[in-house]
Amino acid sequence: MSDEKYWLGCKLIPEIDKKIWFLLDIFKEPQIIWKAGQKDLAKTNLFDDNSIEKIIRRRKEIDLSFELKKLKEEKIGILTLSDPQYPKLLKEIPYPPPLLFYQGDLIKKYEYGVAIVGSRRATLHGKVIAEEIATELSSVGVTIVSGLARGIDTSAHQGALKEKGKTIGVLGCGIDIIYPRENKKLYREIAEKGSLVTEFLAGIPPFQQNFPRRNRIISGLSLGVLVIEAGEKSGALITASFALDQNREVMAIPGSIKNKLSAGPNNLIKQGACLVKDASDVLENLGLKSLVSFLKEKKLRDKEPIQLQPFEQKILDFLGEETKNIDEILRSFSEDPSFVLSQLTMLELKGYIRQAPGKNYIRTNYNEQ
Amino acid sequence: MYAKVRSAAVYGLESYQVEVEVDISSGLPNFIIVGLPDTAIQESRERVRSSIINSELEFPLKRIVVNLAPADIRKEGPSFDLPIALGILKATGQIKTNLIKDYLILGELSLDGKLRKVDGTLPISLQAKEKGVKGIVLPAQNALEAAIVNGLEVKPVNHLREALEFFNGEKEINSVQFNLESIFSGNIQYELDFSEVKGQEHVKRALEVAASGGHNVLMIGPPGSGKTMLAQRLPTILPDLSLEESIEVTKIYSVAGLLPHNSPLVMRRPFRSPHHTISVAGLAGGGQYPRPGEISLSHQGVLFLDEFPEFPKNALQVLRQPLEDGKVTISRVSTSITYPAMFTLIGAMNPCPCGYFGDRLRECLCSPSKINQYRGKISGPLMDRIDIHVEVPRLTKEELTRASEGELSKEIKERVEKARRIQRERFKGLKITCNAQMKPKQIKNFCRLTLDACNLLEKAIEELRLSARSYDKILKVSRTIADLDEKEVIEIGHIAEAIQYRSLDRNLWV
Repeated sequence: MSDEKYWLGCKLIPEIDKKIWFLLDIFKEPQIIWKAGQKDLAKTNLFDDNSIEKIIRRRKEIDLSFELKKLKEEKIGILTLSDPQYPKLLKEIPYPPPLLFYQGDLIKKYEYGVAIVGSRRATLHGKVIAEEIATELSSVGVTIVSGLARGIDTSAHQGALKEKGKTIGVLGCGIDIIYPRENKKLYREIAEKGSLVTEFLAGIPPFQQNFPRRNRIISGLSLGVLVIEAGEKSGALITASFALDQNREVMAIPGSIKNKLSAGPNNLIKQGACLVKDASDVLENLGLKSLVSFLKEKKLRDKEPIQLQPFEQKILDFLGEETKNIDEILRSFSEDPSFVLSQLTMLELKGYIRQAPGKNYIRTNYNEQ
Repeated sequence: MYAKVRSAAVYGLESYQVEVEVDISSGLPNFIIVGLPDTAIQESRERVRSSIINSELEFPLKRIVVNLAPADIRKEGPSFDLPIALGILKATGQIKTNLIKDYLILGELSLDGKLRKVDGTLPISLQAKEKGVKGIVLPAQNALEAAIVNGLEVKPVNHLREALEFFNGEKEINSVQFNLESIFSGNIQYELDFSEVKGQEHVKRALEVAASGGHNVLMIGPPGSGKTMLAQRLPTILPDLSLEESIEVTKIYSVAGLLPHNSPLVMRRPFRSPHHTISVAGLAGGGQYPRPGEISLSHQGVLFLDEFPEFPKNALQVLRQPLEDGKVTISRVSTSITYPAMFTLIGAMNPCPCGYFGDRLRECLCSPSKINQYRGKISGPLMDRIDIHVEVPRLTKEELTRASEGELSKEIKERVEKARRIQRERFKGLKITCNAQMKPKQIKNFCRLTLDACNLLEKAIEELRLSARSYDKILKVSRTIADLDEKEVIEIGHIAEAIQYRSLDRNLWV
């Protein structure tokens, strides 16, 4: 598209970018905004003389073809609002981002997905749930959208990458900035198999005020938002309220009333959000009935007949739904620690349990009907 | 008037003979000591003079020159007091016989002529025996220590006057005897026992494996989880010291002046836990007159470093060579000294700067980057020398009271000794004695796996995202576990257990 460069131009001048929606109402096309003279700009009543002068000066300084070439060299793609490949779901929201920077081609053929969001300080329990639901949803072709933050976000992306890898990470900073830093590997993997998306120019650091803006894109890209573990004032709740504004489904995983991190989802449920417990619930809520049965069949088909030793089954039964510490486990069995320890490794490798820091163990839902 | 007395000094752990020559000539009264003496020896003049006078003997008002030969080695310490005093007495004719030339003499004098204990007696007596010296005269407190060496007449003296009477043939002094065999046959008791630790069974098991294979351990746990308590009990399950090992350890303690006054021989495995503010010299040994450091004091025992990441970086770097070679070499301009330092390292650290990462009861407030930074303080090469990581979770009060009494150290020790015997047999003719010391080639030779075990290990490396570094460590540790199980080939259960001891290699941490 030839108007690509004008969209980029508007983005590059902060004075215009801030008021792009009003300007589009008036001028309709970015090209016209870019070429508008001093008088036209003054007529809009949006700018004072100082700003107009600045805009005109900046416009002269910026070489649009060069800026486009630079993006191409840095392998950063752009999608504009007028681009037919611009995600349809996102286009429907109020004030969609006029310009998206992306890495990874998934976004160009993106149809629909589910957002999974939650606390940065999630518990192991929450992380395991996020990962499992993400894995199952992505196994039937649903894209997982999240924000690449610590905690639930990271687990959701990782879960999706385990299967077909359809996942979109929406950033609250420039696409060249990795935040949090420990997610470097995850960034690369998503850029390769899914898509990294942001509306911020390269080089913009992860300012606090960026994140609510980013959250509206997360919910905007999705059919529904699933909240797993969030404190009372968590950013995940902002995403959920955007979802409501954008007429998207809000779902939540309930938790114990004693757990601070369950306050967010529990409140959402109180207000009328859908209570879900697994991937099929999510699909059902979004009206993706055909996928529900597909998921069921697939689970039946994929279930390898892994045989459990009698003692392994005993440990699983003992773990139940709670996180248990190594000391509790060893104490409740009379077997040698060495034997129990080796059985725990076996169970972990077979995918039935997970180990957490501090030698805590938790059961996964693998193999459950 | 000239006299010569034999004495000896220590450099490093080795002893060398020193001849104390005394010449008394007429001239202005003066007292000079030559032969590179240090301040303690210079001050020896005052002690010698006072103690001779206070013993109601005659101190010559003449020009006295004392030479400590060989004259080109620096000498230190107060152990030349007695030889100098006896030399003066001999040169002035107060000692009438020539008995003195058969004996090696050591001892510090106090002003009233009483003798005080000196350091390094054991290496000196060992060397004296080698040189064919007939006997040794030394302070009574050091007598037992010297008597460890068989075939040496050990004559304990309490007072300068007593030494004089002995050399004049006026008094018999009975040689001190020490029956090594009888002392060694008895069981060695420790005040601590593993049965006192409640719960934490997996940590005890990890320490049992560590003791069996000589593996170094890193314990990770929040404050108050019992890391120190567990580490302190590791010596109680290590095999007893052999006589040779015991003498070697005693030599180090003798030189450092740390021998307990009631037991001349170190028979228990040492446990040292220096504070993290220790200097490099304190840890590795050194100083102007080199002394063994903490790593040598833990020779054949356990070096416990609590708050492992808080130790100065360069102090930790110093550990690398000893962990590899079992000894430490301290270089000085003129010479270099080698101390043995073959120890089991136990490091203890918190899981994160605040200490509560992964704790069930308290929330951790650290960001992942902070945790990584904290863990990064221990350098890769040092981590490479630690085979076993074990997490020590904090138990609740309720859990502690519910936990049953643990196994006795004695029972664990029996298993450890059996596993050690298997290893000694295996490594016969090689330079190593336990699994932890295996080099990559030996790992290949000695760690044979069943097919199942092999598959499991490959699967684990892939699925649990273990680092490449883990591979050899898991093999070594599983070799030890198989030895404890008395199995020739490593089985699937052994590998599975060993995988549990590599917590830090797992990506559980962020």
